[in-house]
Amino acid sequence: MNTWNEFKNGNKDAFVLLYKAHYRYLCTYGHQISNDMELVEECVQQLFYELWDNRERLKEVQFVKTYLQTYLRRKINRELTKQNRSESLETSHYLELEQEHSFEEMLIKRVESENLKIKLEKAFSKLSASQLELIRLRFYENLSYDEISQLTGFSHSIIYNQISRALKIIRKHLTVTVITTLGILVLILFAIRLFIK
Amino acid sequence: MNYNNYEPEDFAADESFINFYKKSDQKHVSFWESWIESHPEKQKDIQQACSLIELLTWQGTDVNFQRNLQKLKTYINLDNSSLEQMPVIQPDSSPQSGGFNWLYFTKIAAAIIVLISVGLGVYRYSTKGELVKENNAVADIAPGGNKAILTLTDGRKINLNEAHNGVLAEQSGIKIAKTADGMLVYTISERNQKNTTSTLEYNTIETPKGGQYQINLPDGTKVWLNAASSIHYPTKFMGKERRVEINGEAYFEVAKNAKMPFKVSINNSSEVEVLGTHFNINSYADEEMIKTTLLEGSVRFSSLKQQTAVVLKPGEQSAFNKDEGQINVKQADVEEAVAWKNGDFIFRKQPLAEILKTLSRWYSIDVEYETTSLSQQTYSGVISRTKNLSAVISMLESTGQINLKVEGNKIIVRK
Repeated sequence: MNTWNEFKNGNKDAFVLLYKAHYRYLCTYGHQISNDMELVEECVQQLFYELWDNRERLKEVQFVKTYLQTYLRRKINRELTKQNRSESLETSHYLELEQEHSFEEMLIKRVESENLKIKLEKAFSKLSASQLELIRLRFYENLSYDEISQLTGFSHSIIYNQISRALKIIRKHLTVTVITTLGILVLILFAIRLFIK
Repeated sequence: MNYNNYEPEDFAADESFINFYKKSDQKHVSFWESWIESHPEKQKDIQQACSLIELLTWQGTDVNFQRNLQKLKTYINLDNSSLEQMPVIQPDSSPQSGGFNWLYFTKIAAAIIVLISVGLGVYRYSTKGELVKENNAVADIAPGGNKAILTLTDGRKINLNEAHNGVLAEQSGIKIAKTADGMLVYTISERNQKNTTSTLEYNTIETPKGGQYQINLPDGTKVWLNAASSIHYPTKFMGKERRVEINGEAYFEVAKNAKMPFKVSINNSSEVEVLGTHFNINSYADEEMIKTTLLEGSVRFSSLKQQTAVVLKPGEQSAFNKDEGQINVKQADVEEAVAWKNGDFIFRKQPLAEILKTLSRWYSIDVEYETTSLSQQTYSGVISRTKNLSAVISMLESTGQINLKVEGNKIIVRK
């Protein structure tokens, strides 16, 4: 039985897992609709409360992430209308909302260098949908391999192999210079930490 | 495990390595720190692994996520942590409700009711209905909010809650501006960057009772000031150290700068030295202890008079007894220590007197005792700081033990 159905049957651990697997993604997504992060977080929270309260009446969902995303978008829009924020802001945002914001786009968007953006785009296009989803769960949402295994039904070794294969593709696409400059910065921070200790 | 043949992506996909990178587990952090030290030939691969993870990691702060996850668990009554078993204020001696034998439960409940009635007297029960009504009618004291006063070097005072957004003041080339979300931002103009010989100018930000405020210091360090607290800091950090002074309670997220250690002086009696870290200091004058709680990194707490010091690890709290000069270190209830910053009151086995002291700072009220019989009785619970005082009081009264009355700006603890 999948996690969604387990949650519908009242399994609390399954519900918490769904929350952990989507919280950060939904917040980032919501932030693209409204700049008011407090409002977005509140909407995400309310969304899950409503899911829990209505769990028995919910239909079966094939793509949970897309379902939650649409739910959140409607919720934030309703909230914005209720609060009577400036009309122009809302309507202009509304058009933008019609297009999907994928996880890959979120990652690419936050990178500053145009050069890196192009490389990332190319790398991501080589990954399968399930590889991207596993990467999202492992790194973005910070789920453990155990949790991902519960959620997806894949075994540890499959998940690990898929992720490490995907990472290899990404690494190959980024030139050595870019990744080492980033890496040196990170390592310097660690070195400083070590040194301080 | 043999990591010698690992490629960057193997490190990046390794659960233990990710825990090291995300610093989510001290065991893995120390393992990898020493592994990296002893394998310099792997340095490049490790660098690449780190940047791969960084590229794919969420960049927000985890504090809100943790808090909201807790709230969700409370909402669905998931009993896997002590906190969630206490959605409202409860006396610590009462049994937790759960799925068990109803007959047994009724018996215990009956016994407790009898005990309480005998102990507290029937009189209280006959008047309780009235009292609750009375409280609701007058106890509508609103919670605190973002309130603070900024005092500049020249003595000018700016009321930050009333000040409009935009540039507030200019001090020797430093612009102080207030953003839409109430933050203070310092910008050093180019003219001033070249002029490094200028003297330090100090500002003070002070929150009243019922006020709190978040500021960004000129070095990027973030400070959250709780109610009835103050911070004294230079408009620009120069020299060998970054030193600020606080009274009351503050939470720090210190910007990393190994060349200029960050030091916090507390009531001129002690100090905390840090290098880049998250921690909370509670040093209210009316508290017996100065408590420093460390969330991330490393800090040294030292008492100036006794010349003693302790170094804290993440998750530890030092308590410095101001009269006796002793410093004790124990595992901290981190969540409780920084709950105020996250918008909650969290009380875990706190004496009633302590709870009321905390409430008095946030709702700017005084506390008066007609009886002190319950002052040391401990209670546990979680309440949002955005609730009106009446809501908090009715939670306390729901224990059936405490009898409170609000009169003007005073809470009276009645017999």
